[in-house]
Amino acid sequence: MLIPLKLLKEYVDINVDDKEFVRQFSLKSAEVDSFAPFVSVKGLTIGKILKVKEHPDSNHLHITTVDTGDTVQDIVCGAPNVMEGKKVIVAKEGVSLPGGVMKKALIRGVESCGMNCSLEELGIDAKFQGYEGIYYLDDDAPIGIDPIAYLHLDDMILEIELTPNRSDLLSIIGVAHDTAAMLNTSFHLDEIKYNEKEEEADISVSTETENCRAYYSKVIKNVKIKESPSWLKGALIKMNVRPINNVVDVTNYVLMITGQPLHAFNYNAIKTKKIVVKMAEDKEKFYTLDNKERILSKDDIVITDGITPLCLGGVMGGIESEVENDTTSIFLESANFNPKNIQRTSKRLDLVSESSTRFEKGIDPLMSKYALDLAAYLLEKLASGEILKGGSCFNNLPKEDKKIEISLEKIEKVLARHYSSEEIDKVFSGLSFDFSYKDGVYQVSIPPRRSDIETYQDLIEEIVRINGYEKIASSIPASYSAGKHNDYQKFIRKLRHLLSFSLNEVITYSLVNGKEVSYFDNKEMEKVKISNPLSDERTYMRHSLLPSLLNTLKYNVYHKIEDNFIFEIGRNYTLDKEETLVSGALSGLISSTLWSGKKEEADFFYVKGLLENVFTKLSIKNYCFIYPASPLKGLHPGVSAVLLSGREPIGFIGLIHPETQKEFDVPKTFVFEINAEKLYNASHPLKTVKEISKYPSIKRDLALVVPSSLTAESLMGKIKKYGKRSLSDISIFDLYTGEKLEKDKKQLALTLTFSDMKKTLEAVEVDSYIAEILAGLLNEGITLRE
Amino acid sequence: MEKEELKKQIKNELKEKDMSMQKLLEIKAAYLGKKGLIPSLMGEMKNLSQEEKPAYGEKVNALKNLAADLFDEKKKEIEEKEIGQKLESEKVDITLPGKEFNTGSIHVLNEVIEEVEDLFIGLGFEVKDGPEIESDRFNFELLNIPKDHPARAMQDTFYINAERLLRTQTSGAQAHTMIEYGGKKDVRIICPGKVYRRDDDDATHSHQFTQIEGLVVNKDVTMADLKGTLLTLARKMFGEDREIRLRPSYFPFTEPSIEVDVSCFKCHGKGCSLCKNTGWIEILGAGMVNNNVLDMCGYDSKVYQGYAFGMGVERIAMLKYGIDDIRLFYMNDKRFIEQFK
Repeated sequence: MLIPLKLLKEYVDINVDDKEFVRQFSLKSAEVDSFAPFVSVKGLTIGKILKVKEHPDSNHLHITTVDTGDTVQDIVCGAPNVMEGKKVIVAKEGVSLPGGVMKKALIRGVESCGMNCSLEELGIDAKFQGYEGIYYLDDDAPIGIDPIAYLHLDDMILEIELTPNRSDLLSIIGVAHDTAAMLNTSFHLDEIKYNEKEEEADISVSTETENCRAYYSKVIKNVKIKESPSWLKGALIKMNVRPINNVVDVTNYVLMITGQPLHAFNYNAIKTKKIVVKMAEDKEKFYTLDNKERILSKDDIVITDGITPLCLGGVMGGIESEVENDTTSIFLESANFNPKNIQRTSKRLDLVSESSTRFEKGIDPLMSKYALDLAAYLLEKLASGEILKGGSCFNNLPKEDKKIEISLEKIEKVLARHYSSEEIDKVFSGLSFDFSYKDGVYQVSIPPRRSDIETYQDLIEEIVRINGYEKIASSIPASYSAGKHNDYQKFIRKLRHLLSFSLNEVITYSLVNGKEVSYFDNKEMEKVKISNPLSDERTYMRHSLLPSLLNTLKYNVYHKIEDNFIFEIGRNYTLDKEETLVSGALSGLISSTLWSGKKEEADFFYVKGLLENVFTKLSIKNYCFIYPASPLKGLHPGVSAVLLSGREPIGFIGLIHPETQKEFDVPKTFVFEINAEKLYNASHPLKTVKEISKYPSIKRDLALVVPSSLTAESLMGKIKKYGKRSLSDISIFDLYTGEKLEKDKKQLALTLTFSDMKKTLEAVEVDSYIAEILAGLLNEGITLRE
Repeated sequence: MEKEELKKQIKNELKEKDMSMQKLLEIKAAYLGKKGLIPSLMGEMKNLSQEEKPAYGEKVNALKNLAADLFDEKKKEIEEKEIGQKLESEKVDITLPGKEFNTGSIHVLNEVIEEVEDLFIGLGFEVKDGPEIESDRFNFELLNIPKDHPARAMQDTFYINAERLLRTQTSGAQAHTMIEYGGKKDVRIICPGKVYRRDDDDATHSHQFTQIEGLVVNKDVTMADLKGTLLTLARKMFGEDREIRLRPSYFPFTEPSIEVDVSCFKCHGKGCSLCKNTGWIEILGAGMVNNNVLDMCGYDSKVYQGYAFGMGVERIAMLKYGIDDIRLFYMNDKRFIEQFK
């Protein structure tokens, strides 16, 4: 909403300087987007083109001799419409235009002392000029004065952003009410007086639908359609409305001032002499002012002559009843329609106008009559219109104002501030609300322009904003319980921090394309599809974070960043369940000291080891990695594993399949994806400490030759089976496969640790334990290396 | 032999500066070894009379001690020198780069969330979570945004079907918590999470972004409490000397509703490009919980009142770190994310 300050001042007194007014407005009324002069160029002059000569050295430039009152100077001009005798806007040497500071210059050998300007060159939208070239002022414009003042454009414009509840601020009068309250000054609305003819208005109005709640009309004869005076054109231009002719301009002006949309019909088009408002027939055809055929529905309100529609109520007029340059008599409408209907019609037909915007947000019903009178008055003055007596009307709106009660006590309970009744009185009377006060309770009558005020909470808002939010104290609410993360939240945070020691955390989009959604999904979960997506790329809610992580890798590799180690904690989605996953993608060098020639590349065991270390820090117990029963989607079948918690699969790790690598266009990459909630369930933080032996332990190394197919884990299982209680730890320190061994055999070297809680173990004792283990293993075909 | 004479003689033999340990041991053997000078002097004692023996013995012993001291001294000197040489040979160029490991980082949005969570946990809040695939009821209706409400147009929504959608605000978690608490327990929560709006991605819009919602409901929480809480938040995030100011705004689920500005931390109120010369920067929206929301979620608005606030995490991070394009958070360029180590 654009508010020209001079226009606002016609309705309210502003007793502070501009800067303070804008500050108060933003703190008490609505957000201020900008506050600036409509035209920021200073020092322009009105000049008269005395003479036009061809430029000797150009076929499109002219040399104009321009009289600006105090001087007559030559200005080289490139405009195609240059003409002798015209009044123009002259920017002389030194004037600062949006395009730069004006300087004297030689243009192809001819000295030019300034510029004849178009409106666009002054920073005004070209639509307000409407033709190419320089802008021509009226022929009687006085030479030597400021053209911006002459055009009534010398004003400051306050641009405000409105929240959907404050439709009352969609008019100058509405803004004036709020201004009066915030500055504690007076709001004024002049009484309107015009002459009425003896002849009575002869068009009757009625409605067949409740969706038209009020309708006022006037008939005005013998109007002379012509250009509006410059004060009116100036006012409209400042509010970004293009002047058309005096009748259209008056209706637009009244709309901007009062917020009440008006519509002017060609009187002669209403042949039946009656106006009937009704709901349109389904599929009924109608041509709007813009000469487009519209297919109507039962939701649309139409203004008819009893038979055919003349106007799409509240949205746009019809071509048949349009006011044209030869129109002599007009029928003027000021109506009130159901906002819901206007909203639906405007949305369905994709037809948004100044009128529909206001109707769909709700207008001030008390303005309908005033707006009609204001328009009649202006048409009498500006179009020599003859206003016929009376004018058919109806008004079915409730006559009583809404009443709301609020106590001083309640205000204090919510705002934690004691307001004096003087302070409250000032707010309500400033806003022109009628009220009474008795025993600490206010009864407030809400004028219908403030349809947003429905409860006492809304009144509290009026009090606190108009009185000033800065008067509210600052405190911290008392708390009787300690705040906390729950154990799961603590776990997730710890997980994030541990992984972030080695990996970069990323956040990627939840919405992915149809291929990515289930690329790594081994459970074939039900897909969640967006019904109104913005693009195919963002249509499904993902089942795995890995496609997005691989895309992140691709992006970075493309930017020549080779070593990428990333993780994300995010959700997967089905319609009734969202699970949190922790996923990672690792590719490139884990560590390097280039000058020493030492490099280490990420591999399966780096990822596995990283996770195992993190699991240790998270007290994850009773887990193992197993070969997948069937190949995992997107992974290398020989370099991938399922993570089991107890017997339940809760995630996987592995190298991506060469095909996947190709499809995602990424280098060799290792990934993991684990269900974070299930991982949390496998976490068993220490409750009671385990007793430790006071006695030293004994270590023994064994090198065992085992079948190649036997996994390290099952070998350790067998050793545990044959070992005694004092076997406290097993670790693997070497793996050998090669020529020195039989085919189908490998050699694993292990360290066994023995300890006893009660005594120092003797070497002979340990020897006997080892012998027992070896005997057991021998039965299973596992031998000690020779 | 006299002491002085021996001392002179040994010192002379040990005078070589870069003597090796081997040579020292050889010289030492010539004096103190089994067939060395001192034992041979001792051997001469048997030729002496009983009366002479004690004095002679004492004298030779003194010579022995003297020699031993001299050799120990030299030995120590050689050892020190050897250690010095060894250390010298082991010297490294400490200016060469150290071994590089992958050191990771936490995403800046999560860093901001954690910072805000920690502040509010300190103020007695709990952290709550809600589903991102939400029902129309929780995302809109329980928040006082019925169908046809103009506020629905403020947030373009991704729909799955007529009833299910991607949440456009974390405010739904308010309703979930109030209903979970059954209208009796005091509420004091913050809810961080992802939200979605049907906006094309550009420098200032993202179809996915992050919010933190806060809600307090009890019998006597006031707007002053809200103001104090937000002041504490602003100071924690943007510096201890910050001030805030409140401006009227509109949210269907709060009344009164406010926008909160923080005093510009770049120009300290003088006016700069960051604060568009106003000295203030908008950081979040808030208000007192609308009675309709309390009643719909099972809290009797005649007894309970509440405050709520919601902030965009991206906005906070952008302001804090001078980030000018929201897409940077989701592009995950290593050169960007690694700066937050």
